[in-house]
Amino acid sequence: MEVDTVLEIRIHGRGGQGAVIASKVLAAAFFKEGHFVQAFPAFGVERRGAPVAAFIRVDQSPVRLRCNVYEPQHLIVLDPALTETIDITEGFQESGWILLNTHNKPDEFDYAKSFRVATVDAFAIAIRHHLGSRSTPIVNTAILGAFARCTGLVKIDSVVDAIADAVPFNAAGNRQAAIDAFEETIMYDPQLQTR
Amino acid sequence: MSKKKSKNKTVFHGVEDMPVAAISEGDMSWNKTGSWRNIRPFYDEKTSPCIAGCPAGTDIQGYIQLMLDKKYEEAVRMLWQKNPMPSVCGRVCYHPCTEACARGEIDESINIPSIERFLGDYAIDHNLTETADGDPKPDNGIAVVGGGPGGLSFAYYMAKMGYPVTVFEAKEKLGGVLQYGIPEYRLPKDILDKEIARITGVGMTVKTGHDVGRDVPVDDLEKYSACFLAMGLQRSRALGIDNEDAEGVMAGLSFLKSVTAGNPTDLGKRAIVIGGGNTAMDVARSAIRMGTDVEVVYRRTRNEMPAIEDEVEEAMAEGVKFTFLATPVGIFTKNGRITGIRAQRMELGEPDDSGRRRPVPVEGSEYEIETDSLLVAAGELSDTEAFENIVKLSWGLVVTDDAGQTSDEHIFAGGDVVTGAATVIEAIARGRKAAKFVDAKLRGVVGPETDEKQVITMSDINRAYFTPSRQVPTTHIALGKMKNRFAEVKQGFGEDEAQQEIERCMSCGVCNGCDICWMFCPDAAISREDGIYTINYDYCKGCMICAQECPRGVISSEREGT
Amino acid sequence: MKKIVIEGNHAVSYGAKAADVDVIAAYPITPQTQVVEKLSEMCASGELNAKFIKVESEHSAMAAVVGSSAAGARSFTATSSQGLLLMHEILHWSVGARLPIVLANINRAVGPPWNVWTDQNDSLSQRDVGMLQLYCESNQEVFDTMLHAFWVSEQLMLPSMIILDAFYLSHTCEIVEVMDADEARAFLPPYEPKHFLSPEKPKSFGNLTTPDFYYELRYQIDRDLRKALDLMKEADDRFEKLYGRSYGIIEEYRTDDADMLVVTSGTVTSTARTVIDELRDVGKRVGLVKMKLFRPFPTEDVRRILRRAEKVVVIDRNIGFSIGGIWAQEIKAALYNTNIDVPVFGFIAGIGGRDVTPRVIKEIIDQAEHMDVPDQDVYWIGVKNEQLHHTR
Repeated sequence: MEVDTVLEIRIHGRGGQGAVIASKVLAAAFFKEGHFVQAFPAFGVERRGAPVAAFIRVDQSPVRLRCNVYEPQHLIVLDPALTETIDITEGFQESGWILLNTHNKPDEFDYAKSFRVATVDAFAIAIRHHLGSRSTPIVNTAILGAFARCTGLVKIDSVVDAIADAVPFNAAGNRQAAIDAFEETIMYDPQLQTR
Repeated sequence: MSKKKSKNKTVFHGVEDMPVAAISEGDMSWNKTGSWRNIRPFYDEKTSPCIAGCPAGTDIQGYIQLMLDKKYEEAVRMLWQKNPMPSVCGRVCYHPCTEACARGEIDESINIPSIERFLGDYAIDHNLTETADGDPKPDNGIAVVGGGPGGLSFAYYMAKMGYPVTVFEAKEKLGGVLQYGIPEYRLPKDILDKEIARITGVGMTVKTGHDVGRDVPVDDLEKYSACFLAMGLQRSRALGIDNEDAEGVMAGLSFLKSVTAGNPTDLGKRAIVIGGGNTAMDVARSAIRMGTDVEVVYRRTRNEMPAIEDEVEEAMAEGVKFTFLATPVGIFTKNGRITGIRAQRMELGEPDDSGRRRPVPVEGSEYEIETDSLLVAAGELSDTEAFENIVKLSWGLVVTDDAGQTSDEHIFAGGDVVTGAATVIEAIARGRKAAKFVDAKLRGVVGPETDEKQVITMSDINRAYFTPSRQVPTTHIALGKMKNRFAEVKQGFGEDEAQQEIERCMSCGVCNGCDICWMFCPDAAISREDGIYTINYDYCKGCMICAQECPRGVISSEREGT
Repeated sequence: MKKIVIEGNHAVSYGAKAADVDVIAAYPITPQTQVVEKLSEMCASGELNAKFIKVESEHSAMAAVVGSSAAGARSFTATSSQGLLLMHEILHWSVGARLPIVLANINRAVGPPWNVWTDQNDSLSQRDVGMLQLYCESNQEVFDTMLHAFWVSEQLMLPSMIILDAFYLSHTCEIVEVMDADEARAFLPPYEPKHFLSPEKPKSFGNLTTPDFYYELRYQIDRDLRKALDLMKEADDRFEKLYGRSYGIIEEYRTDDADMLVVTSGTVTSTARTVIDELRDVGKRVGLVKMKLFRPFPTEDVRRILRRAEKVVVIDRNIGFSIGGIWAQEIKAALYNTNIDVPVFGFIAGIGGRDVTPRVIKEIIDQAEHMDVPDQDVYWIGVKNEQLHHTR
């Protein structure tokens, strides 16, 4: 990855879905590639089921900004239902990717009219690898594989290694989930479409 | 003195001389603050309530402390010093120790019977044996009449002290009521036999099948230096009603004897048991194991029953029916065989001599109960006629003083033949006490020294140190499935359970080296060496924090100068 | 030594582990909880051979480490906000008893109203207890300062407080090079107390001290706390030689030829660096002064650095009610009775976790640029006054 300014990523999820862990694992993946990183949750109190957010900063030199992320380049959304309750695109920079966990195609979302959108069915992948339960699958590792695919900013190998370091149980399943997601990501770039 | 004073007095010339905080630079041991004291703490071990609660004074706290270090052999040898039959008592004793246990006031008392049984069985499993401790006594020997718990206890302690002992037992085997009264499901005979074998193994002559007064002339006892009568109670008390000699009516003890002998009397489909004591429970529970429907008829209520509470509960759980406040007043027969009884309702009146409310017949309340047999367990009587010219008797019981001395200088007595129907542990206690007394007497010294310590009370225990915990319970094999089975009902502790339970022991009144006093003393006046604490009164200011904190009330105080 | 991605709270825990502490007593409080969680895990697993004492309050936590430190054990505690305030009495005790305890405080606003986010009023309220106060900017600095703090404390027999911002450090993961106790020992040898409680050699501790000597004992604390300035420099030098990282007790960032010097502490410093870079790029002569030590206060360094400036701007994430930011007060006091005549602009920002973004810092600098001398004791940046006015 070549960035001349700090790269900022925002992850949306619900309390208990693992958005904060996902931010730490993604930061660790970038760290493995020699970048300087920072990962943090939206500060405050977290409740299960309530919308939460986590942030990652990546830079070529130590990250010195120690304030919230307001204008993320990329968005990761763990729960597609969140798009109906909050404005996930607040401050979003148009050049980046919106990565959604959904079984729908990217162009089924209105975002695809003006933003690059990628989708992956992380719920199905998580269930396939017995991550969490069928009713509440844990998707935070799978989605990172999709992030590696659509943005190309971090290698899938780094993501898989970072997952292996971070998860205490079923490491193999979590790693494979990221790889599956990497392969199953569907990407849509409105500027490349011919009408 | 002046030299010493100047040496210890620090003079600061300026701030650079001073330590950085109010800390003495040197050792402060010169400052003997003991003179400030007007009250003095001292280690004053007391008797644990469990020990005080045991008629035999078994050193329960002591053997539990040894068990905590897994010194099981030392523990059981300590136990034997007061009670040679832990495997028996762990099973059949009414455990007053547990009722006295102070832990019961915090959460649940310690399960002492199961711990005692664990230790007793440990000795059996490890084939622990004993020998006499005392020098052999050049003596004419000691005769013991009756090989039940009282006689065996006396014989054991005399033999341990080195006396030649001869035990006369009328029946085939030693054990008395343990052998012929208490059924297998409470006390397996192989356990009993092994425990008795260890006792006789100390060294004594055992003459079973020798009934003194019949097979052996009573006069023969005179050649012994001393003699101990412990024949127990041999006869069942009759009801004193008509047709008591009918077929199907029998004494409870006789029935139990037939059961323990392996050829139980056939009771038919229904049996009635009269009585509310332990014998009645043993009879009823043995009967129900033979597939008979059993009804216990007792003239008072459950509250007045002398039987051990556990036994009553287990009998009920096994399906024994209970009819309280009723007594038989007649027996119906057909062709000389019982067909039923006429019972009369009772009500409770004024308390009698025993403190229990006296049952009073209710006029016109008679009714009939059909039955195939009637087992009478309304009390036992002694069989002491052979001795009536030798020692003083009262109502058939041998009269003794507290130490067991009868009216005859060289005859002593103990067990049920002295106390009337009592308990195994009381018989053991009396046997030991008499042995100590006889030894002192034969050696021509004044009675055995007693070491009576103050019994600790709950108010001396520092509850803050004891987190409430549940007792590790004794498990029972499914009581509902017990019919026709004489397998032992109560299950013993394994080592893990025993350890878990003894961890709960508070070691009331006895130091167990917990270090609390040592850690709390603000003057470092307490030192510790090899688990022994010593107070250096040169420094003790008498703050009494040690006594306040001691979890188990070991430290007492006294005023200075008194 | 290895680099790992950890949050600031765990940097504290790893720092305590590297310091090979003997006793930890702490009571959990947001946002400090992960410090204690990690340490209790380390103790439970045997990774750290220390006694972890569970307590029922922060007062007890501090009292417990006072006891363990007096007994000669290297002792550590951590807290935040109300918890630190509850410790206040024992903080004084730890100083008077001259115990080299290290306390990590996560800067959190004080209630009411309840607020778990960062500001410095909790630690700055302990201004006069006599502990060292060391403010950190990054998780790496947190880890390293833990070791500095133990070393200096044990040299002086005075306790230290190391301070990090709630969430901006405590819950933010970044790369930290951690080391274990064996690797840290070259810098921080085992603690060898001169005086300690022992039944074998009884001594008197904390006796009643009359006016004859109490006065001198307080003098000694004042004298010795001042020595911490040199000792912190010595620690920083030694640490740099051994491990290659240095912070100084006060840091100048691009102050050469600066007309305006911005004085910051905590994570505001870090964000301010980006602002200074940006303004330098457009030719503005602005520099940054990072305050690491609050106690002892580096008066001489402050004078030396600030005398070159035409304007000093102090950003305080705290408020001394009715008098202004606390760092600003200290800096003004340091410049008084000297021939230094530089206006000091005191700005308040970020209290109760209000975000201090590059834009906020730029606004502060901009406002100061347009004044010759301050016309107020204190400027509250971003108070929603106007906004309220508009909506009315």
